[in-house]
Amino acid sequence: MKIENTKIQMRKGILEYCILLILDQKEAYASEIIAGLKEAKMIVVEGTVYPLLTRLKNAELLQYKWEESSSGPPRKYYQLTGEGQVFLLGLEETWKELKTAVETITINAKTK
Amino acid sequence: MKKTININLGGFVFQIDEDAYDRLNNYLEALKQKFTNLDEQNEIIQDIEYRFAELFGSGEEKNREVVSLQMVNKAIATMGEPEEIEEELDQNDKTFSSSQQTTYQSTSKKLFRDPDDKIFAGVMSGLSRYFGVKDAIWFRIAMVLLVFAGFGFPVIAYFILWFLVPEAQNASEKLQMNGDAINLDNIEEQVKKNLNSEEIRRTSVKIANKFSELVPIILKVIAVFLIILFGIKLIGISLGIIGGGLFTAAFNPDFIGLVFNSKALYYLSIFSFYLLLAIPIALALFLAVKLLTNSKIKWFGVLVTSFVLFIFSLVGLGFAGFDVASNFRQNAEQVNYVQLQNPTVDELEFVFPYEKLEEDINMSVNFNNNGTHFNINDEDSKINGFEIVSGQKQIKINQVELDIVLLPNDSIFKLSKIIGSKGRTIEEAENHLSKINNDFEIVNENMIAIPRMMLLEDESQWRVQRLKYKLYMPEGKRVHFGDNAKKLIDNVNFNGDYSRKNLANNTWEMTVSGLKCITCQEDKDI
Repeated sequence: MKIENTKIQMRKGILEYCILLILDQKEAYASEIIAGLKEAKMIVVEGTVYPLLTRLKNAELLQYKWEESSSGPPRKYYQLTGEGQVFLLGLEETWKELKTAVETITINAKTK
Repeated sequence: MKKTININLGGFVFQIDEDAYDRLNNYLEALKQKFTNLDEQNEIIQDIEYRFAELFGSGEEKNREVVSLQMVNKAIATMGEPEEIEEELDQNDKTFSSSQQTTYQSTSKKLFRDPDDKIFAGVMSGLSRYFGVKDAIWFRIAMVLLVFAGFGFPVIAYFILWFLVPEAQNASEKLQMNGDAINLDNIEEQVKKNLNSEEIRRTSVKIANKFSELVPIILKVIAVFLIILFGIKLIGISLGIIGGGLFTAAFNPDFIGLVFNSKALYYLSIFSFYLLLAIPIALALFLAVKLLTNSKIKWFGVLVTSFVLFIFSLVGLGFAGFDVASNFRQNAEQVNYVQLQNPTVDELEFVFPYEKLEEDINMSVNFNNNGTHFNINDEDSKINGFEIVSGQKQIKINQVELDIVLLPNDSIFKLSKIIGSKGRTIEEAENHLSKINNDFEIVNENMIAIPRMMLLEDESQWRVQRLKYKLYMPEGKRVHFGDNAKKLIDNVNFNGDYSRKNLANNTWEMTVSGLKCITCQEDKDI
């Protein structure tokens, strides 16, 4: 088992969760999402985000509308669908469980 | 000095250095190979192109006139090389596949239209690439020959392929078209080749493809149907000319139109009929094109449209058929007694003058200056002789009969004339009766001439108009028939071993059990 794969697996699930979290606050277009992710050091290269957005959209967790931009090409503003909100709730639940699990194990390991 | 190229990126025009263009194009091509799902591929690449447009048009680069290689490299670094992007994503994800697989696997040929070698749409050149023929001229010559030979089908096929086969838009598609392996070297070579042509390259917005993108799939499908419909019509006509006969009848508006009440209904039924024929052909063609090319057919749209058209054609045919049937619902008949010059004569002679039809061939359609002449002229057929001269509202029809019956307990000839017609209503049927014109002529007291054809004047509808003469003969009276007697006399009893062939040019005597030949002993022996 390659150690890289584990990292990728961990990141990927969390990256989707992060995108959904960003969009849960307000609708945003790709560059805004990227900015948010970069700020949190979730991504290294931008190109990763586009395939994920497309896939989340195709899974009907996201929807978008076109908006004109004064400074550049029109932008796709993404927002969560109802399904996406439900999905996000599920992810939040899982995230908390995982967090608790990792913390519990870490604490137990330390105290033993 | 550097050559610059105009590109359209996300709807904005950028001037870009040639080396920068090569880098950007290669990058996008390489990126494309990472995404195997075509729908996703287009969308992702488009999004990324939009992002590039943003990057080139913002920040410190805002005032730069030309996009340089440096800018492209910077933008790509921000975006990440395809391998980096892939690394950050799950490698087992179905959306993305490893570079090794996609880059070298797609060496199979695909059918594209060739935009660089085209006369109309590049269909022929695309086909010749597909079949590995160097020069498209052979396909073009074959096409022209086929069309001149009277086959309409290649033309239809051409249009369908035009509609369904995508044009090779970019380097990798052109490589696929030629069956070359898609790798960076080949793409580079192809891109350089493209740059030599003066055409302005577009990275994203494919103007050539705009048309087909704008036309929704449903319209496309309907268009294909209409083309096939037109094709069947053409084939129908050519088959009719070659095969003659009933096929011609089925495709001749002058002939079929006779049974309809209105032109609109006629066209409705013909349209529905062709449509019904077109549906399986169209589906087969869609399937064939699907197998030949990588064009993404929206099967749902195709099937729904086919189904709707199928229902439409059935309803159309049913409606028209019902209407036609009701045109024949009522029957009118009219009997007149004919005044003979001298009913007491011992012998009557019947002749059957016959004006030859325009073209005396078995079942034919002739197109000439006078319009369409439609004849059914089959010697053995009951409807021997049927001529419509289109535009003249005149129908010549051979539905004239002469019945010979015994008239018991009397001593004189009697002749009656019965005309009949069908119609939607009794009134309509009677109106058709009034247009039946068959002027028999009493030549002298011994001779009566009955024209073999009846003329329906100022008539554009056929409603089984018929005309029957009935000759009542007392026992012992004689009758002599001229040529063609067997064609009119159908209902007759013979006293002896005769057939209708014996009728003509013989004299017959009426007996209690039927006609007895007086003059045809010699014929009988043969």
